[in-house]
Amino acid sequence: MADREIALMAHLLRRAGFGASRDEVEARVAQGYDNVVEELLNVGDAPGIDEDLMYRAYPSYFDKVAVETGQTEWVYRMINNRYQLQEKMSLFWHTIFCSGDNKVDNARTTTIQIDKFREQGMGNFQDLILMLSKDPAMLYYLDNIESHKTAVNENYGRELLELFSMGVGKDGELNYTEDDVKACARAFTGWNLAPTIPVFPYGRTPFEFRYDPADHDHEDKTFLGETGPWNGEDIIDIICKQPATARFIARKMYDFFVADEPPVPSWRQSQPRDLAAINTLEKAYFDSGYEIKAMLKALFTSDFFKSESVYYAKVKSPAEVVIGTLRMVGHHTSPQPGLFFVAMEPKYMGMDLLNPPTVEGWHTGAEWINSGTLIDRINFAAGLLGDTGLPGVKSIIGRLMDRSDSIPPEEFVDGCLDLTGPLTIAEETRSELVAHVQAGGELRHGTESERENFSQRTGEMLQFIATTSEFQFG
Amino acid sequence: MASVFLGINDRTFTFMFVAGRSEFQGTGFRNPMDMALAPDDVIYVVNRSYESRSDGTRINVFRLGDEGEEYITEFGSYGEEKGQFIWPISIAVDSDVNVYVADEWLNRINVYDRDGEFLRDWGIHGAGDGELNRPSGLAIGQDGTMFVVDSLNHRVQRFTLNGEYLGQFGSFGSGPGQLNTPWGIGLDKDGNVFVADWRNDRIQQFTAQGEWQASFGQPGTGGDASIVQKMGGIKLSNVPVGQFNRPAGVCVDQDGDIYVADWLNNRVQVLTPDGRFISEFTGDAGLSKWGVDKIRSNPDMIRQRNGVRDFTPERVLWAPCAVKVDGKGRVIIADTTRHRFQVYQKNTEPVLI
Amino acid sequence: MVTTNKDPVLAVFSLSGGNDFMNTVIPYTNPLYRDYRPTLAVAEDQVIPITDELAFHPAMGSLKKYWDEGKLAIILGVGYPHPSLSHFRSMDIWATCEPDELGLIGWLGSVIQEIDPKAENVLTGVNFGRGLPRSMAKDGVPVASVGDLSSYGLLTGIEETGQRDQALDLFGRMYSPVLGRGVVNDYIRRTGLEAMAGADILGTAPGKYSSTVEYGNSAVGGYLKDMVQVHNAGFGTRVLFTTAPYNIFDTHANQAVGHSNLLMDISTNIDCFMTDLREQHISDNVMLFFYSEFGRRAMDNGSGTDHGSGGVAFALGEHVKGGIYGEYPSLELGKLEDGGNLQHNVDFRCAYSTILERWMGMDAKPIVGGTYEQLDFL
Repeated sequence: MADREIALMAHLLRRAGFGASRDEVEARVAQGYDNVVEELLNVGDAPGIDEDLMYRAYPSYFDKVAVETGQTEWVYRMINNRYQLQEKMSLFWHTIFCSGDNKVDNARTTTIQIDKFREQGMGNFQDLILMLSKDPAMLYYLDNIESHKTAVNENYGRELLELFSMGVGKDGELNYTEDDVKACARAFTGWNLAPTIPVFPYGRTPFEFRYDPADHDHEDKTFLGETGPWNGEDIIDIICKQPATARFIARKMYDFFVADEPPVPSWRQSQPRDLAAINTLEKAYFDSGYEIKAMLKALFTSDFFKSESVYYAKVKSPAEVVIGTLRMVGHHTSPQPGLFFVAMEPKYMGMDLLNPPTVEGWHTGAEWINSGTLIDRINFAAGLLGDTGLPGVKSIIGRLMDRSDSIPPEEFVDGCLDLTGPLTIAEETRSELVAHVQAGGELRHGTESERENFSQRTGEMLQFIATTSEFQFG
Repeated sequence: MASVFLGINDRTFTFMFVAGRSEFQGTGFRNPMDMALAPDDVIYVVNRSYESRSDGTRINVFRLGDEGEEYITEFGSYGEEKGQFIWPISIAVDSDVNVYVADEWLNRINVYDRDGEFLRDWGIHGAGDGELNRPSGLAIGQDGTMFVVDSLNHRVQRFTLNGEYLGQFGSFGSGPGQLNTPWGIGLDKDGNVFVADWRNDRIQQFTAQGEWQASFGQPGTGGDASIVQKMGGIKLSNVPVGQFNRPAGVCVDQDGDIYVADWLNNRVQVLTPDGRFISEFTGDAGLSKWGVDKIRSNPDMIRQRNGVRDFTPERVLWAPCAVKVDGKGRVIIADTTRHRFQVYQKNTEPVLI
Repeated sequence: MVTTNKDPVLAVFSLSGGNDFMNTVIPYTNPLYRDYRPTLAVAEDQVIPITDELAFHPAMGSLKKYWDEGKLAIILGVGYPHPSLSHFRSMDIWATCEPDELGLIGWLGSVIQEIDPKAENVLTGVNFGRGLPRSMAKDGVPVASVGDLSSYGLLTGIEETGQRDQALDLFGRMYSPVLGRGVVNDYIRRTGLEAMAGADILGTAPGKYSSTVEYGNSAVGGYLKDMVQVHNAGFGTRVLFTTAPYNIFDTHANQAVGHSNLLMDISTNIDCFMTDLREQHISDNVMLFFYSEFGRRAMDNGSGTDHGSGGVAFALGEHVKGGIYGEYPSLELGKLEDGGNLQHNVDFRCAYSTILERWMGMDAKPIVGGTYEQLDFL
């Protein structure tokens, strides 16, 4: 199997999912790249995970009385969902359509929103944004429940335009005016919640959407140049046909799946890093009638995605560090205790899932890294990669042993780098690792004690790889 | 409210009350998975809780009198030490009211006296005779034989109360007498064994020696848990009786009627000994005694409740894991996801509807 | 402003989960207290009176001596307008001083930045626990989060000391060369070296410390002991933060036993903290402030209490002027807030402002977002 194909497939699986063990990467290469893309894009009839087994082991996932339960369940799904792109898309939309349980304070409501991202995340953008506008967590988080015919609260109306669909501006121009914001907010008056059964004495009941026509502003509104008695659906209709919307989603997608774009507030002034790529995605948006899946297909089959220049060009998000490492070593692939503790790791690394810091979401790229989070990232990955009892690590050890009876230090280091990526590291770093292996003596695996030594030193080498600066990229 | 099914009114049930509330300690439950009925209306409850609140993982003891629930004590805690448990799932009491708790993660059975003093444990992980892989259901026969549902070995094993291996039956598969990841177990008064054949969506009946006798029910919604999660306990209207969706618990009353906790269908179904489906309970809960205590001290919640139009989500059973019938004909259902028990009375005389 | 021999150090301890104010500082002579608490009222002959009307919970005996010495200030009825009964939200409000908007900047983050604007000392602020607490969060402010001081740092998974030292040595060599392989990569490598430097320094703290004080065997005891060790080591740390295990004070049920154990745990360990500081002769410039995100309902629910408002905060230290600050909220039915809650009468930002102005010697206004009346406990 060509190294180039393996590197490309590993890249696809890291971006369109949370990475994979080497065994899976190779199996996928055999399937063919385009077939794998199709499989990622199309959720089949077989369940993504065995939910019955999951709920039997973790009955608290049903009602999710605490946000930690929702976070833990999501981490379980991210590790185990065979439709990896489904989970990646739910994370993608969560980083854009932000609502946080720190305000909503009803974890089941918050996670039902994520469930909808999972189900509809590759669907039609118009449907998605209509769903979002009726989503109870969002209506609560952005105060639309406080927006009334007689007293409009503009929070949701504004963020819908600025952060969820169009962005402030593009190509130096503003995409909408303050009057558009007001009209948008008026159109969503009356989009509210029904009274909810309180948490005591039996636990939470999720919020439910309720449209109150008596509290809706039925008067004419002028929005982006069109005048009529617009309701929320009409506004969404107008939003979806804007070139600004295509641009916004295209840039968000490029930023998440290909390479880091500058932060959203600068998008009015800053040109995309790869305008041709963005144009390809914009075209897919309009040609398909706003289908996200069509955009994703265009993206994953494009040359700009397959270019080696974007491999490892992104700093991994904490979710990618945690889930990617777990998938690489094959840990928590079925229900077992300890999942809660690994599910809290993204939070320690600065990404408290279900609790984005603000409606703008997390700052990404280099901003994931500070001295505290770097320690957590390194310790987490090194701890797992050094655990020679885990199936993924065992498999790497077996593959290295299969290469020859005695493996020279350089080949050993390169082999470890290959099987954890393939990852390329700075020559200066590589030579430090080679020198370390040399100092440890010959690597053989003929006898039981040699095998033990070999395993232990492989685990150690994998730990060192987890500490490299290059390992922080995905 | 009495429920009658398909015009057959030879057996009727009346909703009595709901007991408990959601709490990690004391006067409430946290994912009650199973319960064991002891004399004088005393009930021992296995609370699973979850990892970030493992303080809720415990056995609690309460009395279920006619006046509602009364807290007695609690014991056991999360951990791997003697007397602790990680994933407790099932509980039984013997004739001396010693308490047996199955831990499906540590693969052991813990034994306590009636006051919760730890006595001993046993259990070895494995697939050989007498070894366990996720013990999930417990039942003790009148002769002191203990039946353990050995779930991931897809079989039922028999032990003495000290854990000495006596025999086994069942193997993986979907044919008669075969099992797929079974969960709960119940005995009738003649010592016949009823197993919740979980992933085959049926109940199977065996003799005490393990001879297959009958199967009841057929697959319902095909194990789709996501629908159930979304519905929040409200039963799908298009699921007919006689279909199970991952049945978790089973018991048999003095008349031989069979009760099944139909887990993902959010209901309990009742069958006659010959397998005729005669009733289903989907839940009728209002406020429990402890629930009223709770609401009373939170006046803002009283106000909030006054605004709610539809209490269906609160009323219904949500993924119930266990059902037991006591000597008074009270059908006690562990309403696992609502952290409480719903109780129905089996009427001895036909009730005029 | 208070004068100390060395730079003042602020230690903050959050009682996570909503500590039950009414059973911490008990209005033991008020008949309404017993009316509201049929299950949970502490018997009059068991409380530890501190005034004619107020008493400590019996489990708080080890704090009584600091009250008698006049070193313990009790701030009654502390809270903020329109209280949130959500743990997360209320903790965030206390952390960011933003009751209306979702705030991002922690008040202690601002304090650390004020002390060390160029972030020259990565140990100016140290958190004891995992992750970055919102109270200390601010862009550009490094905070070391120490889960366990005895094993803090990189590659803690390697248990054998010699092997770990070797690994850290290799890490240092791998991260040292300036490679110029991209801005972000270089930034990560710089950060790695910083992290290792911070860990190396922190790792020396246990060696500089010896004490006869035996802390209680709990997470709180461990963190408070680590705080004393870091302060003792003289790293220039000025802000220390820790929190009780997450939501542990959330006593919805079986509170009589549970809350008593919690108060016993924090009281004995705070006593150890103070005794230890005195034994090391380093207590002069330390003040400990401890609080909870809200109090609990006036009425018990038959076995516990649910989320409420109007709480209590404490300040303890050699320069603290002991006494009662604020007023005990009225228990009269008509004076309770929505849902039967004690009304706050002191804004928590008054306490913060006092600490910032009179202890840390800083302008409080930009940090707490306004001007608040100062209290006289300093």
